[in-house]
Amino acid sequence: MLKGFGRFRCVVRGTGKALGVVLAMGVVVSVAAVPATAQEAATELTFTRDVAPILQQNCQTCHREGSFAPMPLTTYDEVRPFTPLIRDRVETRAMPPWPMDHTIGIQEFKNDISLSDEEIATILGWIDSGAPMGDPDDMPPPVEWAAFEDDWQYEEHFGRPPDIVIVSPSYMVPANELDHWPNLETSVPGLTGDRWIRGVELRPADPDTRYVFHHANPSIIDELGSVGVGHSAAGTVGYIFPDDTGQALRPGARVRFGMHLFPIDRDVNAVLQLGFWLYPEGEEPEFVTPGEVIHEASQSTGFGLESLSRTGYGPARGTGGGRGGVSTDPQFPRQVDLLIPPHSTATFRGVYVLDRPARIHSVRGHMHLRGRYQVIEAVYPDGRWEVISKLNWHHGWQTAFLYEDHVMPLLPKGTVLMVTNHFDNTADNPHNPDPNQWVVRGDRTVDEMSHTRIGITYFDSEEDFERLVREREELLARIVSEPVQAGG
Amino acid sequence: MVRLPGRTGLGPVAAALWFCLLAFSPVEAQNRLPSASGDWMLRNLRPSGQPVIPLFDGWYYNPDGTFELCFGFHNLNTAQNVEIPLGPDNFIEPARFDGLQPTHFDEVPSEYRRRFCVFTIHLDDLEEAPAIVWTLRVGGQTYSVPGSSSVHYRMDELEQSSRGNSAPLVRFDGLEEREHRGRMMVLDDWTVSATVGVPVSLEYTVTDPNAIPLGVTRVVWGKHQGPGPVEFGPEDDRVETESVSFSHATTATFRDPGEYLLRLQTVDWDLGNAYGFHCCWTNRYVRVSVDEAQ
Ligand code: HEC
Repeated sequence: MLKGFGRFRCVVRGTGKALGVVLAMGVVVSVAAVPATAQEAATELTFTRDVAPILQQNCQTCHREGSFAPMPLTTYDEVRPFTPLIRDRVETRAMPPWPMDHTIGIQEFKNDISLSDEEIATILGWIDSGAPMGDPDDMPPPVEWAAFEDDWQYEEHFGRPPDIVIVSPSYMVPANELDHWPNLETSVPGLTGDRWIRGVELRPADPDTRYVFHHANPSIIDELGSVGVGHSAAGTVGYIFPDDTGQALRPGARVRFGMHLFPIDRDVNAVLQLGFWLYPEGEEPEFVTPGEVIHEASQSTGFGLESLSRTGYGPARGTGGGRGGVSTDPQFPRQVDLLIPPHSTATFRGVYVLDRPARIHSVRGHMHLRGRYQVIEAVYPDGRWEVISKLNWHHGWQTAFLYEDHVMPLLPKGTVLMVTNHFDNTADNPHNPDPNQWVVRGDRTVDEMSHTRIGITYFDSEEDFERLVREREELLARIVSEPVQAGG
Repeated sequence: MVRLPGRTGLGPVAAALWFCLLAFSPVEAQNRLPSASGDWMLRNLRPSGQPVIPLFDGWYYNPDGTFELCFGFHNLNTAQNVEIPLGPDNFIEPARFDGLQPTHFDEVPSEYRRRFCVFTIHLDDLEEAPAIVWTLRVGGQTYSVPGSSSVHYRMDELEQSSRGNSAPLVRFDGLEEREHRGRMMVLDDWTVSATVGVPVSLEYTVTDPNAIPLGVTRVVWGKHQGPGPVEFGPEDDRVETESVSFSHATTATFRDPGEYLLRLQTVDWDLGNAYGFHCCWTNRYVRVSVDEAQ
């Protein structure tokens, strides 16, 4: 189990959620689990026995002394005054932060930190029945949290701390200035031959500087160019690639940290640590991933423009995919043409035709303050159409969603991948700083961006892909014949 | 629960045809749009016949604690310059701020699509910003934008330390002694005289304020106001140099007599994307008085 972000579910998650298993080419099988009836249990719900364990497991990574959420939620006295707020955030699924729509698309993730329907019912039922403390003897012992400096969240998954830790150059963020966007570079020490990354985790070196990182996009730079690796932002820990897949790390590689920093009320030195878990020396994974490939919603490729692609969706893909293929036609829509009228909503869709089979292992959205949601859909070559995921955008939580291995979409060659982004520039959007403005594209948070980073592996061999499809079908057959137990 | 719609009959080709559709739903009619709601597409750039959208870029502090509001525009035409004279089709409210906005809107630039901070409005009190509204009427439709006092719209000015960008010093040679820096709209008290049809030379020197190599500077000339077309002489719009300053000359040729205001923007383009981060550059304006040919 992962500390706090725990619950790496091996099979399928149960407890009150409808279970969807998305299989090869979009076959979805649903197994409805039985929701716990909150009402019948409500009278007996107590803090010490029923609620404290949920808070320990789902809230305290962030809501405890020394972590970064506003108030600790460890004892009854700490929790009691916040019950009205907790009720609201839990009922609306705003907390724990997991801005993935739970009503549509794939629901099985390696890093899901959301509450189950049953857990939500327990918390709401407890609050609605007066939030009693209960028997102090029922209180579970407090969680012993690892010291910040020893705490790599993926350590338990990989069974060891990262194999290589890279520290960004220190950058002084002066108090109360406007945002800073430095690009800092450092080398990767100790690489003698090609190595392959299995997982990446990024964290601030000092917990006090957590607030200053809006995001940091590290990339690996080697003689082949620059590719994104991992990501750090509120809500994102890192990446774990599928067991058969790795990202290249070559001797001489450097890491560039493209940061967006928010100054706070005092000068701070911002330093990031980037931990890599690697395949053993000499071991090459079966498949190589370019990592995350950017798919712009306000720009499309895949219409015979691949040869113009400079950044990689076409034949030279790899370094930032969907952004490539800008047409020389001055009227061809580009990301910089994004324009949202005042007091309006707007929807953009980018369309990408896969020129070879692929597997998606993660998605991460990116919009700014007017962003509402992003939908990733696939239209398969046989005409079937599937919603892969719908991200309910929240600027504060730029979560990377890591699909469980058995639900990673397998997309045949010719699949049309569509990324649809919806913006709300009306007063109804609580994050909108000024609905009277025309909104354009830009790096500031008042300007918009409109892309999804899709963690993807392309398959050069149709046979490899067909084998993966077959394996998935066999797994599906097994899951259907052995009903899933709730509580996974 | 079944999540797959099954066969939709929508093949990839049909889906592809929807590419980049931008649906939009107006909630308020204050800013009406070029066409009826369903027609508003991301592909709003056309060779001609499209409107010019006035944009508020943001605000910044002056060293004395006063404020500058920056406005730019997005001409949605790829092959049509648009003229909108001051008056009922191009005005700023309250009226005391009216008069220095552009009346000439160059076609969309191929690379960056918009024109950033082409003029500024000076305020002592930022709270006034939302009441300042620039309106353009094009093709019978009205497009307005107010200023904003939101802290989110604050911009860096002169320097952006994290990216190392800084607004260059710019001097018009032979016309002034002192150099100017930054985006604030300053109208100098000198005027250049010209004659219809005769190119007039405009010489200027761009210097790095920190006396370090300039690197890449983007140079953008444009007509800001004036009765007739202006043709600028050939000039590199991207100057790369290892020295701390460079001097250039361009020419401007006028077809019609009258009073003109030309605009020169020199952008520190060292890291590219100074526009995306809204810093740093210098706006200069040249008044030209053009006489009939003898
Ligand atoms: C990943 C870290 C994280 C986890 C896990 C988390 N929270 Fe939070 N929570 C935050 C942060 C940061 C804020 C403040 C910013 C915000 O509201 O988004 C917050 C805000 C809140 C607020 C609103 C506080 C206020 O003053 O507005 C409540 C209530 C809350 N959390 C309850 C919970 C509960 C209950 C859980 C567990 C079921 C939980 N949170 C899990 C990080 C977290």
